[in-house]
Amino acid sequence: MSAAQQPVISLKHVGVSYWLRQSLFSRRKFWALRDVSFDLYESDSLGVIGKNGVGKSTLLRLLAGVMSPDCGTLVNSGVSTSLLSMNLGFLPYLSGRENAILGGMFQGMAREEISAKMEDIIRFAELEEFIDEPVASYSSGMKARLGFAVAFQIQPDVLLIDEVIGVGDADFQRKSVEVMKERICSHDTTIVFVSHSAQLVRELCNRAVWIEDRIVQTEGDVETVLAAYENFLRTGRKCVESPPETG
Amino acid sequence: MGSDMLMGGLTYCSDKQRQVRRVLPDLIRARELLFDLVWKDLRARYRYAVMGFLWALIEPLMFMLILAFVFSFVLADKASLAGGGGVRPFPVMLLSGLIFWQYFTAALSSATVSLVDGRNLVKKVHFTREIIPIAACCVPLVNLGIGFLLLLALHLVLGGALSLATLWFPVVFAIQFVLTVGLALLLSCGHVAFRDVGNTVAVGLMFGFYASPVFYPLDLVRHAASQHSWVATAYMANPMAGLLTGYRQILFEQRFPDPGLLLWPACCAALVLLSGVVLFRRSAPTMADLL
Repeated sequence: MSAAQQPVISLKHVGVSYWLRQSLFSRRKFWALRDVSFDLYESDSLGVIGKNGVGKSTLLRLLAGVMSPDCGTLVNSGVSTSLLSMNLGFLPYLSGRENAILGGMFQGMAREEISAKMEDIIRFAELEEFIDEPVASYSSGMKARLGFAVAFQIQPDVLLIDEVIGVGDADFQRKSVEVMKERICSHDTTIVFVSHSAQLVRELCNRAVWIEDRIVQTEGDVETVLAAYENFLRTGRKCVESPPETG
Repeated sequence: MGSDMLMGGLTYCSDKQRQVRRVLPDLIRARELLFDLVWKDLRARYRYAVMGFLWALIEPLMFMLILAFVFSFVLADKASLAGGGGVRPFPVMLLSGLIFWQYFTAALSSATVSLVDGRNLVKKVHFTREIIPIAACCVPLVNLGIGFLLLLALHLVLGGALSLATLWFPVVFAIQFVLTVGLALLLSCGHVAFRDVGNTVAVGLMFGFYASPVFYPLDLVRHAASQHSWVATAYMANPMAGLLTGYRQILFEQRFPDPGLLLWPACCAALVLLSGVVLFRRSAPTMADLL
């Protein structure tokens, strides 16, 4: 993307700390993210890559506005962000339809809006027969499909995706990757996609950020970043032999 | 820097979340969600119960029956004062305290744990989080409404009279509702930080049941404490004492309750609501960390 453009979201030296309570009066500060800086431009598709536990999910929560940074600045130019997430506290004794409406409303849609899209949701989630059954009777795959279908109807300016592509059976996975690609290629949504799979990031993103040790290691063109990441994984394994170590 | 940039969109920025004056606009924007949440919670609760909303009647009735048995049969001699003679039938006196106390208990015990129970939502979506404990305060309103109809019916059956003064009930209840919502906001975000709050509330409500004029009238306390004025003062510090007595004055005397009874509860309610709103807004940005 052109550098002359204004970033929609800009992070400068952002850090997030959690208090871990050890006993009633003693607590320890734990930095989940220490120094994260990058700019997100309109219709970017930014991949965030790193191993498990490096603060990728914390970063998404930060972007979703669920929590705020403890240091550094995060400037949002006024765009709406939404985390594409499944399993949004389903009420088990209500039907799939009722849960879909409630879930959509929690994510900022109006009731009419989501009712109008209900047919699409049902078709996409392949739940035609079961949509009026209580969610308690759903398999975990069905719940995940419903969650994805609802979340996908939400049209935020910036869509945040947390590794959701591994949802449901092989067919549904293929389908969800496909619609995701479609949306990314259409360039009307800005996307932040978090994953530890270099392959998916390469497939879906044009830019990438590699987070390791709670700090942004590399940022930029997807190929450059992934090359650095894959190189780290290879050499990392060579050094340690058995389970790779972080921190 | 960039403060004007932050104004657009309904998204975020922690400073905006902390602003207390934005509570009302935020809540108005989220009203549809609040109604939906309350309605769905009610449906989920009674969907697979064969007797459904009948449970709202059974609970206060059973409570009233057992208390009536204990006090007008087992302890009949001691309790002769409790009913206050034929003017105030004992079961009506009991029920008038019970339904409002049970509302208080049900609302607070579910609101306290509501944020922790809803952690899936709180951690993933950005919305006006106040609606979670507020919804918990609205759900038992239905039970209260049904219990209130039961109370009026029983009052009429046992020879009581009703007049336009009954319309004062909502006025007094408004004070109780404000108090309940304020406490719900305080306790729910307190419970996020310290899970001890949940236990404390359970113990406190049990304590309050005996320390408030639920199954005995206030006159008995005043009578017993006539020698020790500080006991009466301490007793009246509990805002529920004035409120429950207010309800009884409306029902049995068909008039607006003594303003002196309601003044303190009203001050408490305003203070508690204000501090609840401020504390909730303050802790909102770090709430997701603690869940």
